[in-house]
Amino acid sequence: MKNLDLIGKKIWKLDGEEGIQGQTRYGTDLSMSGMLYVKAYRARIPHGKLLRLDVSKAAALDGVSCVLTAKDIPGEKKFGFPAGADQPVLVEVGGTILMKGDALALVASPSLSVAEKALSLIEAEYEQYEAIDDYERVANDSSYFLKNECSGEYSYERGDLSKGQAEADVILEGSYEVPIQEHAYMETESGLSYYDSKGILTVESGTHDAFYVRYEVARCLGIDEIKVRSIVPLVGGTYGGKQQCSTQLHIALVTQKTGLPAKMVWSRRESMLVSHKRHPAKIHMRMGATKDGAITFLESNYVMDGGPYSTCSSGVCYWMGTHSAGPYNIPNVSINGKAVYTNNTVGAAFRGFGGPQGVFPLERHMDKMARELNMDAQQLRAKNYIREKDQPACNGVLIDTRVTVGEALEKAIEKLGPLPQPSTPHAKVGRGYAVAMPLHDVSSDPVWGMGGTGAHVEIFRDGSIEVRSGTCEFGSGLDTVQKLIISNEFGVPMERIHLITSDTYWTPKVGRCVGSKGAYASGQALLMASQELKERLATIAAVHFGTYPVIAPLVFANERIYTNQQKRDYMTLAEAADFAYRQGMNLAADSWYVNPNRLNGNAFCAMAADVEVDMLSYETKVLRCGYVHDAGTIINPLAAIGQAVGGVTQSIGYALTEKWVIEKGESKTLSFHDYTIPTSVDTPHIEVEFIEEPSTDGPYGAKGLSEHPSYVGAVAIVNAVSNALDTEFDVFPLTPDKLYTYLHG
Amino acid sequence: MQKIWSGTINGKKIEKSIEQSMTLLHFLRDELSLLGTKVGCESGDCGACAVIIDKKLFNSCITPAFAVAGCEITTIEGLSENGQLHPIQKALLDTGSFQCGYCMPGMCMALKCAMDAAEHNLTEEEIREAISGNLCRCGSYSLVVEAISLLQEVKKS
Amino acid sequence: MWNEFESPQSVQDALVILEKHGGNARVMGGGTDLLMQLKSKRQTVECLVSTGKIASMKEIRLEGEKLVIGGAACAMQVQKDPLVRQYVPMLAQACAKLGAPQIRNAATLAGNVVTAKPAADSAVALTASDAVLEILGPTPRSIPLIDAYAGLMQSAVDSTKEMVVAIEIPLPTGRYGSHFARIASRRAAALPILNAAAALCLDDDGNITKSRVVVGGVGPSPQRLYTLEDMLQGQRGTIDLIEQVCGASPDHVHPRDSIRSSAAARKGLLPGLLKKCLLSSFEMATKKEG
Repeated sequence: MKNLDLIGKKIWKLDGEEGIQGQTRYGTDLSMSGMLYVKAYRARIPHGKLLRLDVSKAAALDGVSCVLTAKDIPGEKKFGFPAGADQPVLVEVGGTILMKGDALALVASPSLSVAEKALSLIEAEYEQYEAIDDYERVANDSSYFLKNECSGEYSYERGDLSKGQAEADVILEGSYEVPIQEHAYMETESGLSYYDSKGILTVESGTHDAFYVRYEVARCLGIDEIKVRSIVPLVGGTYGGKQQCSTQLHIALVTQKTGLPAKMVWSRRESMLVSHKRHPAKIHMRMGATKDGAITFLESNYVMDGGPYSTCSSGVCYWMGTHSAGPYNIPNVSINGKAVYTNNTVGAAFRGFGGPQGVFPLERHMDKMARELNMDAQQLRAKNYIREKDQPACNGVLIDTRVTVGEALEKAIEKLGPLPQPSTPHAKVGRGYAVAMPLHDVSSDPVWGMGGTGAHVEIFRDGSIEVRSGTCEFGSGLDTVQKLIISNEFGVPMERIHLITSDTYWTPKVGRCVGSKGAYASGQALLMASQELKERLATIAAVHFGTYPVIAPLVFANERIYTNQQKRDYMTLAEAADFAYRQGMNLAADSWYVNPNRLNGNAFCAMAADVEVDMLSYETKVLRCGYVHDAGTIINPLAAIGQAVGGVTQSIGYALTEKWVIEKGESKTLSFHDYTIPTSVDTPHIEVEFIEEPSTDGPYGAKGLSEHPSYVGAVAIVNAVSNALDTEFDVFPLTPDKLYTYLHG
Repeated sequence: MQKIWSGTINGKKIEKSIEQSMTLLHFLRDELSLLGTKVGCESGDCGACAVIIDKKLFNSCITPAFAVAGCEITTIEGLSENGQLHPIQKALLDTGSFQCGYCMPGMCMALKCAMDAAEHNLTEEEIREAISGNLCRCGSYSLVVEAISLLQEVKKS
Repeated sequence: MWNEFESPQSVQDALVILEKHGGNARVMGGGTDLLMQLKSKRQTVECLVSTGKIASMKEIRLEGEKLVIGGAACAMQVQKDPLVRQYVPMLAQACAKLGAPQIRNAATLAGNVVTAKPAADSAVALTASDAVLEILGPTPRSIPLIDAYAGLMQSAVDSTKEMVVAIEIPLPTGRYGSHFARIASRRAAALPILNAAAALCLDDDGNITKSRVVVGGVGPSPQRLYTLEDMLQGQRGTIDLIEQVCGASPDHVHPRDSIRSSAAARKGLLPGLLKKCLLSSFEMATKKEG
């Protein structure tokens, strides 16, 4: 039931008032007296054997508390999620370096400058191997590989491709490439570890899942998980990039060795070198359609570059595949893809998780097909959209709500108004758009290690409520959403609710705060726990109102329990809680939410953009964007708008300003002045609208939200530039130098 | 080598013996425990460390502390008064600009600087220009512009 | 990085400190480039000598037929200065596009030149302005800006001994127009793929009496394209002529590949960039009266 008092109201982010005064504390802000600064010595080559590592001079430096190498690791020497532990904590002498930036040794000192000086005294000798850097070749040439298996595979067949080909009047082929993208969060990886007063090794670090960190720390240190506590403080942005271990194992090792608190903050260069990236991909697509625009078949073959470690490449490869056929009803489909190993940057989760890579070729191809058929691109799409009760290709999900993709696109285009005239005689303008049906992953699949989301809700005798949830707050407003849900369920104001999150001591498991584990899964878990608790309170109320054993429908509002909708008779929530307490009733409820349908697919989104290209400088300016999203019920509008606008802004960067340069496994763009994310003057006014078509199984009818703008953002802009210049662009980013090169060779 | 640094920070006279090799950013955070000014890149590229010095905006990560001795420095801690949010801060919260929040202290400083220096209401273009050195990866720029535009409307009426 | 920091209040005091440290101290303007250069080279200087408190070095004034900009004037100051805007608009434009507001508040023009970056925006505009550096130290001298580069990232000015106290720009005469433009991967806080400054002087009949065409990003320092200037010299100024001359520009530059752009793309982007600069300069000059 939606209480219109709170759900859907614009509410300040929970930590906003403190945060905007600079009072909140992120990982980079944490410190403890007696703390050591930890720095990692990293491999200078992308591929080779570590022949020799001499840390003696570093260890002898005055002020250095310890220097650790692989032989000092008491437990497991590798880590990695979810495919398995294949990334070295520290590379052993005689071991293989697979990535430039692989950690080889750790130094720790109470002085940061001494720790930095100690790094310069370490000597390493390598036998360098050829860097395996051509991922397309890895997929096609069995003599050229890094690891003799791939890190992900996807295959889907439906119908009969040859039948579809025969029925087509037009067949179009295209080759596409989707580039690397760096997360570039404003706060780099950071962590602090220490022994608490009871000898429990505590790690505070920015990440997506406190429990995963606890597991890896325990494994690496060779101790039981009961001896480790993991906390996630406020995180300065992650967008999926901080899921794997970064500083945690290094600082924990130092604390274990020295008994002292240990802090590590990655420099910006280190973060860009070492952290994981969006998987780049190459796609070959064939599509056939009748002359009336009915798509008869779709064939897509793709390969993704997962870098040297598996991380979640299996999932990203899968996700790319399941989004390759979009929200279209295509009868004959064949999608085949794989993720391969190379010595390039490590591919892992980044907002969209393979979805943007899957949608790009499809939405480019739709525009091309429309041109080929002499049809309006919106009409071609509309002719092929799935309908309610359909089973779209690839993702095995039945559509059980109204299909709003067409409406979303119409509204997105409407927001742009008429296409403006070029602002100078040497400019060209164009409009482009894209649609998607992003699946949201509320995973309960144990293979992924993400199964199950818990929540704990407890009401105290005075009617105040404590909530414990495993979610982490890294900007999407999850804390606020969760408190809103509880506030709405119990009719209790926000300030009488205490929310404890992301602490393995206190909070139940969330299973990784990604996809739709946030508002969707945690929301459901909270609703379940709230329901259980309310039922117990309802029994108390029934006794109070004299209707027991009949438990009449009750309304929880204004910190009261009302007997009926007319709100005439009531007892206060505090009265009920106090009475229940004195009866010896359990006032805490724990829930465990598992979604039997791993994927849900009825969120739809569309983006339209107008661009202007300066034909003297080849600079592209985005004039205006319209983004429309059916994310079901919007619980927290301010957070939703922020996520939508933010996802679109990141996509503008992906399409136009962010160029990652890597050659033979060596990344060159390792600073904010070399890798240029959009600034305020690169970003236009972005209009956002939400279509609230409730889901059948989300909290209050919510669907997934935060990752979805990334599916359509970049491709809408590339479509726009293609239209402006009457040229098909199948690769990006379209920085001026790249745009010139694509046009003129 | 240490020397006495003296100047005014958030309206308070400060005198402290510090290493001459310190940047203003580390002086504020490590010596004065003013953690609101953030570490983003330490290369002057992102603006997370931006502070106001004698009414002008600077990146404290590339400002030697002693370059600004004797100056009047305002950090994010000096923006609100007695726990009351500055109108800029309220406006940013009102439009949902505050997402992960890491860039916000620097962003607030840039906005305050620009609004204080302007004799007229800033146009959308001028607001964007004022914060062009404050990177926000959560992508809140258009919400920031909306916030300041609305704030100026309110002030005008 | 640095051990000591001094903020002398006069040029004389600054030179005394430099001498005292016998080559182990360095002049610092805003430090926006210098600090990062020291960091990346893992270099430590004994003492940084800031020009930030030398009031005389922050002045911008007319001196006879010259515009004199103090070596410690920051880009923001230069961008806003009415004299600069009036006499050398391309310099105001270059400073306005430099970095971001907080960088412009710190970065000095002298610093931009002495750090010897190949394509510093203000240095490109200054080169096109025929700027001359006034240097004080053991060997006081004036050198044209174009001679201030000793190699890639190497200045002819030895900042351990001497300082650029002022930059002098001869006031343009006649019908003068100038324009600065740059191409980069984003619109703020980005190193350029290419930048350029152009200036034209027309006589009363519309003939080009003087031109300057300077490009950054095609060599170790801002490059004056003398051949193009020769092609313009004495000709009747027309849009066709300018387009023709710009079209010829790729043959006269030898850029390299870099992470920001391939050499071929730089050559390809050059005509359009120069068109922007020369056409705008021409338009400005045409509007002026003789």
